[in-house]
Amino acid sequence: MSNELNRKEFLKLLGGAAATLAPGMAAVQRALASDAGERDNDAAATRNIKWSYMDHWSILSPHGRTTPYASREYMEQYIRELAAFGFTGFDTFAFRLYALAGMYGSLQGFKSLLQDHGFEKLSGVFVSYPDKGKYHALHDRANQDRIVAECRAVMEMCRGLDVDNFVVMPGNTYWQTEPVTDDKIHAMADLWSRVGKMTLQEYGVKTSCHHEFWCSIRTPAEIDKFYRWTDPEHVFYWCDTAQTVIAGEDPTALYNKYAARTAGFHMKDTHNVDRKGEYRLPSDPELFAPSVKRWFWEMGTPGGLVDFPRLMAALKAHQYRGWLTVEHDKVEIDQGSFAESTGVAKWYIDNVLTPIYS
Amino acid sequence: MAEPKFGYAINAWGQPLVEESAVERPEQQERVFKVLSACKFRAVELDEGSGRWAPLGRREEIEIHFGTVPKFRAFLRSCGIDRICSWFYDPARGSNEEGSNGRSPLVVADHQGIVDSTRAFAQTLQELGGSCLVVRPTPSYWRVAPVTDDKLKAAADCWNQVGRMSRQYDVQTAVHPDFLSALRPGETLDRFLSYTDPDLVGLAIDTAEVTIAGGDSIALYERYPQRVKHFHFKNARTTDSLGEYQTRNAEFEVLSAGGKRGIQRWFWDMGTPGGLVDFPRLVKSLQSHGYDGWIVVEGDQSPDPAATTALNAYYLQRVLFKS
Repeated sequence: MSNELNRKEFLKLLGGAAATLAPGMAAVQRALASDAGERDNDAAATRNIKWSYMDHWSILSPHGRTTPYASREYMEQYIRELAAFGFTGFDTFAFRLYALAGMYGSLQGFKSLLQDHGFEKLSGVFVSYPDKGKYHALHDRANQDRIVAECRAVMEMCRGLDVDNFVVMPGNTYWQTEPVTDDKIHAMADLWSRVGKMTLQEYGVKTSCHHEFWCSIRTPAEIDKFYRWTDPEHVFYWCDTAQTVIAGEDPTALYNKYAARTAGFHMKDTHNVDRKGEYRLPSDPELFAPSVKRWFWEMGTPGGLVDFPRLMAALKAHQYRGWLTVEHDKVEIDQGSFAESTGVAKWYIDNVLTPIYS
Repeated sequence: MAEPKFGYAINAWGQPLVEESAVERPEQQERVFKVLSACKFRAVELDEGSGRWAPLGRREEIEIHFGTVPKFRAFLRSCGIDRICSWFYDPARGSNEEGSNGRSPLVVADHQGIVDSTRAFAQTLQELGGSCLVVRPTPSYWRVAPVTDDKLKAAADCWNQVGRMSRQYDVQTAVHPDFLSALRPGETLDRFLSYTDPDLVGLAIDTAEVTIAGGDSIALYERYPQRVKHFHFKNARTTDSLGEYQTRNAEFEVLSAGGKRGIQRWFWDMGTPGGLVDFPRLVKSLQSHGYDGWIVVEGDQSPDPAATTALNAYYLQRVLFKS
């Protein structure tokens, strides 16, 4: 370990930035810039893992805790902070696309903002239908045309953005679906096969399924049936490490099983396994479970139950290449700082995970 | 020229004896240090403090919490922090450990106490890999006005003694005038510096404090390029255009309560919109003069210190040092 971080080391760590500050230093700076640029290109060519951030954040503003979506100034602060932590991908929710398009004229405008700050792109879009409502029972075949059309509308919004992943919660809440029968799983599998074929063939975007501990496809048996009955060429697996552990399952085992169909990960930790069957409680166990106030924690907190080093070793064994997405929902429950949680997680990435596989 | 060295000040997370301090428990400290490390800051400036609310405020507290100073350094390293680069010291703060209710460099009878007190900080800094003791050179203007030659000479003599002492530990003493200081940019600061020994006493420029006080950090640096041994980089959006540093109880009335204009926040991150400090031009000047001291970034008065750390890191990495 170096004794101190001088400017040159600082620049190396930036992954490419270099200074041109003093006339006398111009040649040195150009050399630095050149070295850094070449090293970056080399690194990009050989890097297996890219880190993205799932869009959960708040800003402590003069009018209290608010969202980056409250102003372009706050959004730029947010993007700058993520860039400082080294993220190059940005994942968001489908329902936020309209806000972003409004703030920046178009989603292409938002992508430009990302790229101006060193991001590669808008890497993923997430959609879920926790409540079945009048038209969104995902296991009801009568709703499928509507849901496919809604997913198509999301894809149309993202056209030309080179989004990689469309991440979906494949079922409604457990309590709004149970009993979870084979017929219902079949119906959901058929729905997402239709969506997956559409997104991949027409838009080049992978549809992958993200299994919340409180969603209707959550046990190994349900998950196994779901992936057997979905089209393997068009429906992919998305591993949320904390949700999987809360459900009492092993994310590494699930990844090993579905490695060939895995499109990505939400990397977050938990301190609790749902041992009381709270996944079945209305209205939303993630928010209102009586026994656990806060289910999700950033990587690197004491008491975390996810074995991230083992998962990284599995990624290495399978030579996974793609995004790993850091997610920090629920920081606000303890009035915490999203920036602080993200810094702690990034420290863990840099010092624990990256040495295993990068 | 030597490469600039970057550090980050812990005062962003609250000052000792302030209930809102967020670095009291070891797990809080660990999170803060890891955030700094994740933002590529691997050196930290501590803030002097006393007693149980300031576990990183002085050697005695560090030993209580970590056992020994080397164990504290090992803890820092486990968090990705290489060293404590500097320590901020204000003799006016009381110290139960020293049986002091605060001392003044303007009072000759206090000088030996200040030298004895700072010795422990200099020694501990050396053991933690640091090299600069950053001191508040005088009380606030309102407390000591009129600022006479005798007062300036007394303060200069005090810091000469401290500078001589700290040199024994390879630690540079640097005086840090803030915007309430009796040392105003220009004439009084110049006179004060002329009374100090340039081999013993350096100048610390805090870019926001100098700006708010109506000065120009670049001009000040270029006036004393050989004497400036330390920087605090932070931004300001507002200056003390009403001369409120003269206000009675200015620490409360102006710095904390915002003065007549109700300024909510004097200090801002480096890239803040409307920031008054011209950092690109300052860094060019540092480069041209071969500045080789620490550049410590500060985020005090931020509502979210981690967020401000990341914003400052972004500005350093992607704006100030981007080709």
